[in-house]
Amino acid sequence: MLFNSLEFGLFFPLVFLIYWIVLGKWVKAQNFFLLLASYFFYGWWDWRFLILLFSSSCIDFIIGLELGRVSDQEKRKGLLGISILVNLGILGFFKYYHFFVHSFVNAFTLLGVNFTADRMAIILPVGLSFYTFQSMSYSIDIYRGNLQPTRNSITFLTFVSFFPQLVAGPIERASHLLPQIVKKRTFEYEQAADGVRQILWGLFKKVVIADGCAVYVEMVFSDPASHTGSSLLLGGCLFLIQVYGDFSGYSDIALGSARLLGFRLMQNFAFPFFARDVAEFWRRWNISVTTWFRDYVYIPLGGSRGSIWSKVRNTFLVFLACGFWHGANWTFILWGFAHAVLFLPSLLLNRNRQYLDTVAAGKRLPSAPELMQMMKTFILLALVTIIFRVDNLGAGWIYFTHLFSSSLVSLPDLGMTNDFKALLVFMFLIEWQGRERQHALERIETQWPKIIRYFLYYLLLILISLYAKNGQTFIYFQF
Amino acid sequence: MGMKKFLLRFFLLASPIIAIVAFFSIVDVFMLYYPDVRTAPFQSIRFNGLSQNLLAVNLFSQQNADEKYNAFIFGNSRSRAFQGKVWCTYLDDECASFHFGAGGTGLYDAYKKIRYLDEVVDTIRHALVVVDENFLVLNTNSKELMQMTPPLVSKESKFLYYLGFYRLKLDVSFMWAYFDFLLFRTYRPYMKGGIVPPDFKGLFNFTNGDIIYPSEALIQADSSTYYQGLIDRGEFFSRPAPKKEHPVTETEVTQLMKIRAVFDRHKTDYKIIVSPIYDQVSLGAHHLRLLVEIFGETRVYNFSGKNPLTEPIGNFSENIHYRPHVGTQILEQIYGGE
Repeated sequence: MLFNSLEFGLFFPLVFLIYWIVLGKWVKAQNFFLLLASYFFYGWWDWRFLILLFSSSCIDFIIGLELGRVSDQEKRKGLLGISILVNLGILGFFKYYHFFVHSFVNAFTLLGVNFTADRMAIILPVGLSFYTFQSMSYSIDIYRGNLQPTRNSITFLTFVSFFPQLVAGPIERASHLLPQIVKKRTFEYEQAADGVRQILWGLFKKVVIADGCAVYVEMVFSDPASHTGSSLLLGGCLFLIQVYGDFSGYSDIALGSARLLGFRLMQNFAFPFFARDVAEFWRRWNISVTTWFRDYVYIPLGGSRGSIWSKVRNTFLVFLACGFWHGANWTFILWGFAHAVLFLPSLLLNRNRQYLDTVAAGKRLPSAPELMQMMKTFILLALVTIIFRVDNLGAGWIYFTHLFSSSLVSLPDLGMTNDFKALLVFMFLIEWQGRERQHALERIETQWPKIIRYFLYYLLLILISLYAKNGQTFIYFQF
Repeated sequence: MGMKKFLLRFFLLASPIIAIVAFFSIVDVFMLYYPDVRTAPFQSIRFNGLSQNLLAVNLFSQQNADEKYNAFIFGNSRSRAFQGKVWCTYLDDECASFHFGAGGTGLYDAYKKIRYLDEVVDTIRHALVVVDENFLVLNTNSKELMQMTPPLVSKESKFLYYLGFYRLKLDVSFMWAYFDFLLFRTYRPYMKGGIVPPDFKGLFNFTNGDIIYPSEALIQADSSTYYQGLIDRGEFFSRPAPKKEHPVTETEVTQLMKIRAVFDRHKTDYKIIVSPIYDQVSLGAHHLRLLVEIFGETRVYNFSGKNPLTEPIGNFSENIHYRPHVGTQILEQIYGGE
């Protein structure tokens, strides 16, 4: 079920009303109902994969219990190994099977050995990368002694399948979400109203901005050879905005929906386009996934401690893993590699934690150098994100050779309407004014006059209505 | 307390939307549940917003008892080149044709309609199935509301289908144009796409579902200006266009075989017509072979690719649709010798 579909528009209010009005007094009943609603939400897409979701959750639940009981270190290692093996095994089979078979056959072909391999028709279950990582981190945290296992199966199953964040994150840590599931929740007006504002802004970013950009992005990426270098550069920039609008829009809807149900999920995007360098960008982009890789891959590898060589190795490994997590294609691996290359200078020069604050905090406008830094970072990231979008490395080569041509110094000609340009500016302005908050419309209740607020709400509703198509899917569902 | 305040405020915020939905439900602007499509008051206001597919299905279900249709045309918008009235001149005296095609639809739509007819009519005496590659590979229901096969025929969720129309009613550009027209009864250029221009009236045949597009009148009035305008806009691209391969799927095979089974049961005299398309790309060999294998060589008429019908641009109203006189020429070629 898509957040921007009519089905969800009916499903969520119904869940909300039953959850608070009928079951509001009984937290256990609320949790059981949330579990049923989450399975219904997931099963709407394909009920067969509920079996996978249920069985992988059960395995981690049992392993969690065992890890809590067993003190022998070898046995604990073995149990953790099983959890990792099962989760990565499921992920590997459904997501990477074709990639490995294809790469294997290609490698042998290069060596002069030709053979064909039977390919199974495998469908990638929606959100697999997200819920397997969430479930796996539970076992790892218990193994590390950072978390006590839950003994309530409903609580755990609800934690893994909680529908607002099930299919595209944010990937929640058990230490953050489980206590919220266990304790009694009370309805708070401010929380709920702010949740609605966050949903509204998320829908705007998805339906108006991301789906609007998609038209121009498709135009340039489907036939890069027929466009000028400047148009291809603009296409790259629009794709970066599209991914942001799509994914951060999804996250906003997820966080807003969760808040309406009395939960606080972790912030997943912190206005990454206002980052002054790549390191800051990664602290603000897809935060739940980047911190997951930091905590469960980068730090266990040694992090930024040790020799320069180990820093470089760890950085490349974590970015390559992050790229591969996104998809079974060499383009994603190259994308991760390119990000590692961009990240490396600031790491080696010890400047990767230079910008921990918010740009121009407390001010209306950025300074000229800050503006230049943000623009430079944005362009660099747009260029790298092109690799993320192309179908294969060959297509990427064609794109870049046409981009870096003499026609780069010309006016882009994508036929973008003035309306859409104005909407992009509008999005950036609203995001800019809210950049020190959790989301762009947070706390406008206390800071903006009522008439302007309501004008904004209706304006957003009208724009969403104007741009709404029939449930365009989210890019990150494929991951 | 907080919940009451929240629900009240949310209701107040949503009240304009609720009011609009209620208004459009009452006036039934999309004719979702209007009992008689022939006298529906809003069909003249917003033609483009009406689903041709829904209109055709409603029309059929309301009139079949009286008209006793026995000859049917299936296909996407290209099938509009075949006018039931002309077709009947090649058939027997009892011919009562109905045009069941609809824009943007595919094999799924035709398959579902043929299965539906199998249930509700006594005989499918004649059938024209107008296909092209895009049509053959559309084996699931369209996601586009205006092209979706209505639930009466598809047997899919009625609830979700009708719900989709409610979202359309919240389209602000449509609402603005709608109320403007409702109040002032004046057609303005900005309404294009929402409100039907006055000269669009009368092109839908409420007896047999035929539609003649307004471009036909423009061509007949001044063909050189019409085509020059299209040429200036770059409508007629160089051809043959690059060929895109679409593999034959199991669903396509199954649907075609089931269509054949229904035709056999009704002893239908049917013709499968592969459309002549401006791009001059021939129907994929696998698809053509499949059609011949399932329906037989004598039933399949292939007009795709480079040929005298696809050569003159005067045979096309733009680069997508061929014109009714081409449909008549095809009928003459098929039935002329019989």
